Amino acid sequence: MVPGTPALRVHDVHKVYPEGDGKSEHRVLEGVSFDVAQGECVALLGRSGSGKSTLLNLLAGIDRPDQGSVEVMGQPLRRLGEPALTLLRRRQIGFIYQFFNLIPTLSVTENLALPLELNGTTLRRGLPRIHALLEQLGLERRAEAFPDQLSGGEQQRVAIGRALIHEPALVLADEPTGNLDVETGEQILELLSALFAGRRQTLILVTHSLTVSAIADRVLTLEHGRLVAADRSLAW
Amino acid sequence: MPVLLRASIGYLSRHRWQSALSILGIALGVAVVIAVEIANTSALRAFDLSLETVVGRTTHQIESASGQIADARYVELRRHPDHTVAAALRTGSPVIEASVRIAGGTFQLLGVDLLSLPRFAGPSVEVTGGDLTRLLHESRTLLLNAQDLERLGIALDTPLSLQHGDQTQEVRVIGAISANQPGGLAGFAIADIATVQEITARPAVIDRIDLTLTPTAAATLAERLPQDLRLVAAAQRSESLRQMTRAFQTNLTAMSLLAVLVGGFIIYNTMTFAVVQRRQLFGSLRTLGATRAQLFRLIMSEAMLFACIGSALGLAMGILTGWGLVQLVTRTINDLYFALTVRELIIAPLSIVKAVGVGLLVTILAALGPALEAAGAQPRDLLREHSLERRGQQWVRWLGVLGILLAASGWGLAQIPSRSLGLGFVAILTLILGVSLCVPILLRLFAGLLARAAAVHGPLAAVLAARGVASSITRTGIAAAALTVAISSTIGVGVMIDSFRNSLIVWLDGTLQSDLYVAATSETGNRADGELPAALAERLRALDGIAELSLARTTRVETRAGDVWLIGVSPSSVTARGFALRHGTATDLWSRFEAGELILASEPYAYHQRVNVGDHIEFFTARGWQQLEIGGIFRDYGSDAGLLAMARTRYIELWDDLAISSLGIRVQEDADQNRVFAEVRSITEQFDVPIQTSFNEQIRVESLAVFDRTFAITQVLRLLAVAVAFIGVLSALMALELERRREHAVLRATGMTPGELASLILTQTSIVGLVAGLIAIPLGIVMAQLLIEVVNLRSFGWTMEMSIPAWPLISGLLLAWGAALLAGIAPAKRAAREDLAPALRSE
Ligand SMILES: Nc1ncnc2c1ncn2[C@@H]1O[C@H](COP(=O)(O)OP(=O)(O)OP(=O)(O)O)[C@@H](O)[C@H]1O
Ligand SMILES: [Mg+2]
Repeated sequence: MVPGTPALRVHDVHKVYPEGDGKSEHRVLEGVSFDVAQGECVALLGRSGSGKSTLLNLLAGIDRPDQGSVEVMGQPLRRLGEPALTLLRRRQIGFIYQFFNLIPTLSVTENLALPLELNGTTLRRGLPRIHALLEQLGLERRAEAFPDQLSGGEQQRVAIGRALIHEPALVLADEPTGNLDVETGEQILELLSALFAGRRQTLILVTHSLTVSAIADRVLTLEHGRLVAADRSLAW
Repeated sequence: MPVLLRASIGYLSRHRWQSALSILGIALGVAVVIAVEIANTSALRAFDLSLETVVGRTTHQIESASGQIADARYVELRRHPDHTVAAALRTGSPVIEASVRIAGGTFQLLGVDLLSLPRFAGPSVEVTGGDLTRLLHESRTLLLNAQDLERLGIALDTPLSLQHGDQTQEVRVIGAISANQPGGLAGFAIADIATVQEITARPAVIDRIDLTLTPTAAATLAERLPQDLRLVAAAQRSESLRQMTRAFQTNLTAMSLLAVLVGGFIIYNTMTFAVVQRRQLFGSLRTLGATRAQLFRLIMSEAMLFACIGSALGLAMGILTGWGLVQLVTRTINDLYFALTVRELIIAPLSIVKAVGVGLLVTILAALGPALEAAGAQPRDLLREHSLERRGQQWVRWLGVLGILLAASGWGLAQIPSRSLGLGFVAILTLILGVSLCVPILLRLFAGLLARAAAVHGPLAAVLAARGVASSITRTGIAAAALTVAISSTIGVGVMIDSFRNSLIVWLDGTLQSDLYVAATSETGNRADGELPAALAERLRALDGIAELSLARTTRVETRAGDVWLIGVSPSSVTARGFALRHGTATDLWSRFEAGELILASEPYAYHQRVNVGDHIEFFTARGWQQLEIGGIFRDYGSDAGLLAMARTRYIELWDDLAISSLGIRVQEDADQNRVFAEVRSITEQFDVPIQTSFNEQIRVESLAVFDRTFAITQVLRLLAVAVAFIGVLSALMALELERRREHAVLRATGMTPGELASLILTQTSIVGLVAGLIAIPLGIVMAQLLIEVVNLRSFGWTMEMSIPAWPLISGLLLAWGAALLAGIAPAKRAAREDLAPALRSE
């Protein structure tokens, strides 16, 4: 990767969903553009239904825009076929979901091993890395537990671990604290900022809360399908 | 509750695939039942019609011990000095019968006294297009039913070829006969007695005399008949004929029940899935104030809707399949029992009620569990994810316990020394049901072991696959159970047929001791019961290169227990080897057999009549009633009707019948078999009688062909069972795929390629298929054993050696795996192609 290439380049992205019986349509994104530099931490704000998750999905290559382009680490997603897109997700992207989305049949360790294995590192060889990360996450004693045996906060911490273990260049987090009580949410955020400190990873963080956006370098706000005051930095 | 209903309809239309599969599942179950019902009742009805027609207004029949009566005796009886005898004779008609083929159709050729035609065709018999007297004056002229004429495209008064045995002759149809009675004489060809005698080359004889008598007249006549003639009630004869096909039909019914069992799994799977999927929805509805009764009604009415659509579809499918099945059934009946043509499909209201009843009942039973569960659960439980799966996990253990109990009692039932075929089938079905209930827990154990092994050594994908199977055991377990039932019955029936076939081959090798066989052909059944010309044996004996001739006479004779086939064999050096005797024979069997003291009974005869070595059988002979002792029991797969054998000399003494039905020729070692065959052939052709000459090998091949044809219908039903199971696996896997939709989307979003995800799913289905196949192998073997030792014995009286060839086992395993893999393809494809964003959004 050429240094200086933005981690993300989003240009004039549109997303429209058909509605009801397909006759009417719901315009969710109407021309969103922004760049994110490598290593930057960006908070994405907006009211419920403003299209934050939709945008995040477009960035992760999980969904495709109806118009406009998305470049991740210099690669225009539009030109990538499904296999290449999968490889990009596997190597470059970590995704933290609002509802954890852990694999219920895999233990904590195995959930963390999953991205490693998909990238060619067996569980056995990845084990030291997994243990180190679990320790950072404060989960070293729950390594063998299954997701349904964990609390919400613990599950979210595993989900964070799973998004970071293979050290992707871009981490996308969709309301990682939205489903937790305030205190746990704050702990998770502290953990996130601690984990990101000193790394050259890019983080896009969707949130409702201004406190969350406090840890961000920059804040973007979605409103009526567009970014408003996109370059307004919140200096506290 | 229109809103509730809307929620449900919305759900069903959004899961069209799932709904279609469950309807298809119900439909297939119903279709199999109705198809078998139709085939059975149609064949039975055709059979009854032809019996009715033959019997007509006849109440009694005069038969002779030898099976035929000379023309002259009939005339004698009509002129009997005893007034009552002569009067009784005037109520009836002499009859001679044969099975023939005309223009591609099978007909019962009936030679009757034309003045008595109304006996058969009803009082207002009508002949169109012809003059009845032509039947008398012109040779080889017949009447056919108008419908048959049209169906086969036969024109009046044009030369037609008629086949009787292997003889082809020219005949003409001179008129169409219509009769005002059910069946309208369909399948019958009517001719003058002389014509039938000519066609069948049985000059101056008739088969029987049909009479219409009052009970008192019958009693008097019975007393005054000469010793070698006998008066039989017509109803009694039809009943014994009807009895013959009963066992065969029971087997068919049992096969259809098996299909219903498999169909039941599918329906159950469908209904549970439809409920489980919506637990959250139901939970919300309950918290909003929907009552339990409302929820229950909602689920049950959905089930009823499915059941109705499925049953209607199944009826249509079944009726279409029924026609094909009828052909198979008639072919078997023609091969094994008697000539029969089925012209119309009988769709009895009762059959429809039965099939639809099965469809509705199974659906309702299957829906009842989930409906009660959903209605009974606390809203809080309903809202919590996975709680049912967890409960299912515990259920699996109890199911296993119940399954073991059922399987054991099935096994126990089979050990009860009873003769009831029904009980035998109940035993087998109970055993299968029991084992199938154990399948989920076995699958979970196996998948657990696999997951543990994979966690240590294997890739995560293998762990995921194995744990996925174990954690969704309510889905995967049902799929595996349905597959186990279908595959084990495939294996069981396969091993049984194989064992049977091997026993048949061994038996044929033993029985067919001569090199060449000469027989008078008759098309009824598979017995050579025609007559060879008297001079034939002497002419053959004079041939060069013949080592030995053995003569046999096969006829039906009367015993106290009813009609039975009897074969009178002339002693030869190979007689003893020609009978596959069971252990425990009388001492000095062969010398006393040849002296005429002892007779032999076939296995089916011994089983059905409950007789054994040392028992006596009383025969109605030309010398009145005579008792003979059974000296041995021999295997006979030639018929399930029973056969007795005695020395021919003794037979001649008792029945005054010098005729021969078949001849076995042993060719001298150094003589050329083909030359002898040709010479035998040229001699038989000089007689104007249908005679068939065959090599030993031809008979073997033909017998095996008949055997294979007999089991063709079984193969069709087995395939149906597998098809039904396939639908079951498919719907279970589709359900599983929907449940795992989000999990699969996460895997894809994390970087799993569509190919990797598809192979993960295919690995899971492979585990399901292989485990089902592995369980099916021992179950299939036990089933084969029960089929052989219980069902075959009880329905046919046959015993046979069980042989377990590898191929049915391997092919069963492959079939299970293949079916599961095939069923996995659609869900795997769907999962791989799924749009990630909506799948991740879904709750
Ligand atoms: N697959 C879809 N089909 C139709 N409409 C959709 C689909 N996905 C999202 N939408 C609509 O697009 C809009 C934006 O949805 P999105 O999930 O991106 O919002 P959000 O900003 O993440 O909201 P929240 O903060 O509540 O999570 C919503 O109105 C939603 O109804
Ligand atoms: Mg969102």
